[in-house]
This record gives sequence, structure tokens and C-alpha cells, in this order.
Amino acid sequence: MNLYRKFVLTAVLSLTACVLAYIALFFYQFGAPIASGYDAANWITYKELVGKNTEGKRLLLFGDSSTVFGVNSKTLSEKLGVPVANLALHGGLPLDAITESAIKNSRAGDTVVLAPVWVYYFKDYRIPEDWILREMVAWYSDYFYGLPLKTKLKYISAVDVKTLSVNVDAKFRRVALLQEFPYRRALTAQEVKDQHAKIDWTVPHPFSYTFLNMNEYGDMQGACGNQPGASIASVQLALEPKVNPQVLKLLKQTAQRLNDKGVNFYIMPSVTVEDERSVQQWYHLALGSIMDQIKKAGIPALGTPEDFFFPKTSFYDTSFHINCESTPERTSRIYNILKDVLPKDTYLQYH
Amino acid sequence: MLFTSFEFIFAFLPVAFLVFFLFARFWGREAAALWLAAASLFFYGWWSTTYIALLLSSILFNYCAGYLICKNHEANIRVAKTALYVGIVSNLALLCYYKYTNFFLGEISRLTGAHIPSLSLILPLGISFFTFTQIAFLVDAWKGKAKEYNFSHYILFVTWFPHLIAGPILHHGQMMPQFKDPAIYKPNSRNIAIGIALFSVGLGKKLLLADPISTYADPLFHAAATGQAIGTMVAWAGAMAYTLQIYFDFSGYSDMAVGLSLLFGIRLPVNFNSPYKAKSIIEFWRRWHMTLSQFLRDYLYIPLGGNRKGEIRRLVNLSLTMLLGGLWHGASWTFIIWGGLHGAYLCANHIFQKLPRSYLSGLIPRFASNAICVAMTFAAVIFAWVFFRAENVHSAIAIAHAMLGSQQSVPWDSIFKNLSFITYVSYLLVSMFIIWVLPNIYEVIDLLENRVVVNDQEGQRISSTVCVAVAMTCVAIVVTSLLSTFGSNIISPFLYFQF
Repeated sequence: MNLYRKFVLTAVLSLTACVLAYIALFFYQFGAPIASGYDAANWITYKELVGKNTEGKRLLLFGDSSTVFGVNSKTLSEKLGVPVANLALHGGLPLDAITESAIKNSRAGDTVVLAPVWVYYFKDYRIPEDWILREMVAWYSDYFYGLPLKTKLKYISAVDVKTLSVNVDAKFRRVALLQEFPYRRALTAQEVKDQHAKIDWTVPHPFSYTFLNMNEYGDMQGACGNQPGASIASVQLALEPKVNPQVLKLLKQTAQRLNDKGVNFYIMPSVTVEDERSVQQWYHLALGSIMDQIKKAGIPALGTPEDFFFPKTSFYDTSFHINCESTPERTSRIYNILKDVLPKDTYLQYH
Repeated sequence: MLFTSFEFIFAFLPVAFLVFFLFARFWGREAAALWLAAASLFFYGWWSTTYIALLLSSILFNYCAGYLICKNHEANIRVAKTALYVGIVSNLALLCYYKYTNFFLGEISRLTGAHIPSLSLILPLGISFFTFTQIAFLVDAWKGKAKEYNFSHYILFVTWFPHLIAGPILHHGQMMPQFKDPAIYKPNSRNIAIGIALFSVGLGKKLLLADPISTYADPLFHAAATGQAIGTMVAWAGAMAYTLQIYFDFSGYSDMAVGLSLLFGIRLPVNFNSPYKAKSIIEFWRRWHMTLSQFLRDYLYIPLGGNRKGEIRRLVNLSLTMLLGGLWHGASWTFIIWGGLHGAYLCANHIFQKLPRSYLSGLIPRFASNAICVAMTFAAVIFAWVFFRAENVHSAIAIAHAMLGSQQSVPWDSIFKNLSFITYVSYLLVSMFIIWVLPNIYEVIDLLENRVVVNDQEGQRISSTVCVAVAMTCVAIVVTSLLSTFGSNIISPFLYFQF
């Protein structure tokens, strides 16, 4: 073999070896007990249990924490006459994780209502963010495995070498680290069930941002009043906001996949803080244009942004979380929108 | 698609490479050449498909013009001459429309006070390069140097993806014979090996040097644009950082382009030859962006009269050539001033060369005088880059003032915030070592291939070990370069893409 051939062969083989070794390390890090938001995992498990425990042709609420807060699913269920489950998830999750959860947890005859906060419409959900990268390593490798190849590559290249080495080291020392930090793992479905069953709802308990603070419908409890120091303001918008084409594509695909399953799917506006900015006409037009773009893409949408404007005093700790005092009002507004659109057979099953 | 991206390295390149040789093997050379042209158009269209039609129209137009020139050069010279003029004017008009319209409208508006709205134009990627390449083709056709008119080869000549976006600027006569050569349609281990080496070095220059160093250049120019105070030390630090960034960025791109092309057996001209080792500005321009320098010399400076009409005219021609060379880089006064500065440097250099040397000779040892010349040339080049990079003339002048010591000093972190001074110095030292001490990659290849003679068995064993070590070093550079981009969503295009 001449020297040039030897050079090419060596280069190709060493590059292949490096790529394979890197991929192996990348996959090895999954499950490393690093500091992360394990409760987001427990939310998912709990919400799946709530979904499973809700019989019949259901109304399923999906979204981020803005839907977990400020909804009284029990009241909604009684007024609408259909079983309701609040399956909204942690707001750090990318939109495709939420839509996949909607597809996974719904069945024929259900109605799915998705109400993500406005920022979800502008972000390219395929671009990895630090939070989801950490969760992916700690407990959410299933999300990574479900991604298309191109997005997988983006995720692989989003983890820098230093972080990868820390994660690999943590995985290597998994047993010792778990002894030191026993809560650095996601609970099993049985553990979630058991822990939730132990809660005594008859006694008041302080607010916590965990599944243990959610009722049997999946609604967050005890978020009363306004948290001191919380900065509540309307979301900043461009004069002519443009919904990310990838988001429109995803929502369209989700609507199609749900319809194929026999599930009705609707987008509903999320909550908006009523302040100096949001009361201006341009802001209303901007929000309206977001809903118009969604409808124009053939995605069924219900209600108007104005239906969910609330004063600052209605928010608990962030601009997305409605407090317990305003929960009845928001629930009533949701009811007013849904009462005429729920399929008749779903509507009648409780009557 | 960037040469540094995953989709390019792990998808586009392997597919283009394998299919090319498969087509050549099973469907013939014409099919393989067409495949490369199609792959190149795909590469171009990856950013935006908007201007593919413009590129193809430009190719068709110039091919027809060149064909007319060639066929009528002897039989009907008037037709040939008309085709030449129409061709050149049309190419320049296209370039001016996209690149300079808003600049001129803005200047007219500024001078007259009239409100002239600017046009919403997006500069088609690579337009400066593909129009210049085709102007050169038309002139070569007129001179009888462009003889081959295979249309698919012509498309490939213009669109050939390694050079399409940012050069090197090619000549018809360099490329067309290669496309006809049956040898390029068979994989050649020497070409592939050298191609890999060049690509690796280029990738390393871009990702391991140019991009990290750029973090020290950007804050200075941003500070100047926003009117912040700049001191002498930070001005030189930022200007120096940009000087290194643009060299490693553009020469890295050029090395990658030459290497990529060589993988397919197609040789591109070398574009950089250690320009910062130049001992004079004249030498600098023989080493920096060599294909543009040659283009400006052959198609502008010499037609203007070159040095054939006396010394004064020569200096005027030089200045004019450099001014237009500056303007070619972009529609802004900063580029014109940069070109003007280099024109002035070149004139000074030529005048200096005419001076008698006897009173200086022997006073300074040769190595010291060489070092002084290199340092002076380098300093002059750094100073000029300030105008090239600055967002406007005002901020360039502010930085220039600071570099000349006429501003009060400011602390390092007032401009560079939390960027480490130690890291900066480390980058500087490594870069200087690479630039001034190490041979460039072409010299290394030449050394390994031609200057080391191996005869006995022991020598061959050493060669084999060196070969494996060099291959592994190249892979290490590629892997380290790519890993250095992990964890960041910042996509850093090559600087010359904007031209």
C-alpha cells in the first residue's frame, strides 16, 4: 500500500473511531444523576396517571404551566358535563414534547385543547435549550430518542465537551451519587401514585411547585394571592409577530394525527397580563394576528386573546400563573368558549 | 451550507464525492460532471433558492457572450467586440445593481438633501465572485485564451462549490482542461490525502483560531460604533485580533476550498502564501488573496496602462486599482478608504524602492532589517484593517486615533468585559508562532513530498509512521475543531461570504 492510501485509510478509520466513541459517550451519559428538574418527570408520570384514571370521552387540557395554574377542572367538568383532565406539563418542555404527550394520552372521542403561552409560537422548538438538555441527560432520554435525525444531531452538538465529561463522570459514579443525593432520579409510576395518595387534602399545606400540589384532575393548588417580588408583565411582542413556520407545521401535523385518532383538537389562547403595554391597540392586533395565522394554517382555534386578559392582581408568581382567586373566572371563560363546541355525544354523556 | 457544518462534512460531501466517482465509473464523465454541477447548485441553493435563477441566467448569458466572442473573433470582429463590451457592462451592471445601488442612492440623498428611499435588495451570495470569474472568462475569450465551450463544463466551472461563494477567483483556462482530463474521474489517493490535509488545516484555522479570536475583535468595533471611549492598548488589541481573525478565517476557507476541490481531483489556485510574513506591502499583495490580486492586475491595472506609461501614471494606476479593489469588497466608504490606504502604501513602497540604498546598507544586520520590514508591513496592514472592519468611517477614525495614542487609556474590561487578557495573549502568541515561525501547509506538503528522500527500508518505515501520524493529526484537528463548536448555537459564517 502506498503512503497516500495509508494516509487516507488511517484518516477515515480514525475519524470513524472518534465519531463512534463520541456517540457512545453521548448515549452513555443518559441517566446520569446530575442536578436537574426531576419533578418535571414526576409531573409527566402523574399527569399520565390522571389521564388514565379519567374515564369516558374526555376533555383534555394541554399546555405549559399557564394551564396547570388557574384552572378548576372539577368545576369545568361539572358545568360542561364531561370528564376533564388537566394534562398540562412543565413550561420548560419544548412544544413537540407537549404535542406528543397530547397524542400519546388521548383516545378516540376525546377533545384536546392546547393553550401554550404566546412565546411558544415564536420559538423554534427544535433548537435545544439548556434546561431541556439537562433534563434529557437526567431523565428524559425518551424525548431524545423520539426526535428526527436532524434534530438529534442538533441536540448532540448542543452539549459541549466539558458538560459531556461531567455527565459521563456522574453516570460512572451513579451509585455513589445516588447515595449522596437520593432525589436525583425520576420516581416510578407506583411511587408517584403512593406519594400522591398520602397527601391529606383536609389540612392546608404550603404551596410547592410539584405534582404533590396538584389535585386529582391535575390542577395546581394553593397558588393564592400575589407572591411578593414577582414581576408580572405582558409578554413583549413585535408589532407584526410572525408565528414560527416550524410551529405552524407541528401544530398542523398534531391536528392531523389527533383527527386520525378520532380526537378533536383545538388551540386556545393562553393568559395575558393586562398592563400598559397590552391594553394598547397594536398589542391586541398583534395577538389577533397570531391567532389568525394559526387559523389560516388550517388549525382549529377557539376564543380570542381578549377572552383571557387578566389584571396583574390575578397572577400568582409569574406572568403565566393565574392565582386561586381568579381561577373561577378563568374557568368560567373557558367554559363559555367550550360549551358550544364540544361534540354532542361527549357533551351528552354526563346528562 | 457552510464547510464547517455537520450537514456539509457528514452528508453533502460524502454523497457528492461517492456519487461523482460512481457516475464516472458507470455512466461516464459527462454524467459525473453534470452531477457535480447539480450538487454545486444544491450547495448554493441550501441558503436560499431565490437567486439560483439569477446565477443560472448569468451563466447562460456569459456562456453565449463568450461563445459569440470566440466564434466571431476572426470572422467578424465587430460582433465579437460588441459581445465583449455588452458582456462586461452587463456583469458590472448586475453587480452594481445588487451591491452598490443603495450606497449610491444614499450618497446622492446625503449630498442633495433629497429623500431617496433605499431599495430592499438582498445581496445574492457569491455574486462578486461569480461575476468576476465570468468577466475574466469574457476577456480570456477575447484574448483567445478560452477555447473550450462544453456547456456542462462551463456550468461546473462557474458553480463549482468549493469556490462559488468566496473564491478563489478562477480562470476558464485553468479549469476547463481539468474537466476534460479523464484522470479526475478516477479516485486518486494522493489527491484525496492532500485534500484531507488541506481541509483539516483550513477547518482548524477557522474554528480553533479565527472564531475564538473574533470574540476579542467584535467588542472593540462595537464600542467604537456606540461611541465608547477607547484607549491605545485596547485599540491595538482589538485591531490585532481582527487582523488575525480575517487571516485565519479567509485563508482557512481558501485552504478548505483547495482541499475539497482536490478530493475530486480538481486543482484550484492557491490563494494565500503566508501574507503576514511579507517584508513589504508589494510582497503582501503577492501573498494575500492572490487570485483577486492577479485579477486586479490582469484585468484592471494592466489595461489602465500598468507601469508602461511612466512612474506617475503607474502610481495613479496603482491607487485606482486599489480603490476599486476596496470598493469590490463592499459598498461603503470604509472599504474605499481601506483600498485607498493600501494604494498609498503601495505607492510609498514603489517610491521607496527607487531611493538609493547605499546610506543604509550594512548598518543593520540582514535578519534584523528583515524583522523590522515584516513588523512595519504588519503594523501598516493592521492599521488598514481597522477601516475594513469598522461599521462606519467615524468609528474607524476613533479607533485609528486611539491606536495613534491620541486617546486616554481605558481599562481592559471596559471594552472586553469578562474576556480574559491571559487567554487573549495566549491566542496571540500561538497565532504569531503559526504565522511567523511555522511553514504554511503548502510548504509542509512540498517538504514531505519532494524534499525528503527516502531510500532504505528503515527510511520507508519512518515515512510510513510519519504518514500515519500526520493522518491522525489531521483527524485530531477536525475532531477538536468540530467539538469546539459544541454547546453553542452560534453559527459563524466565513467573513468573505458577505463580499
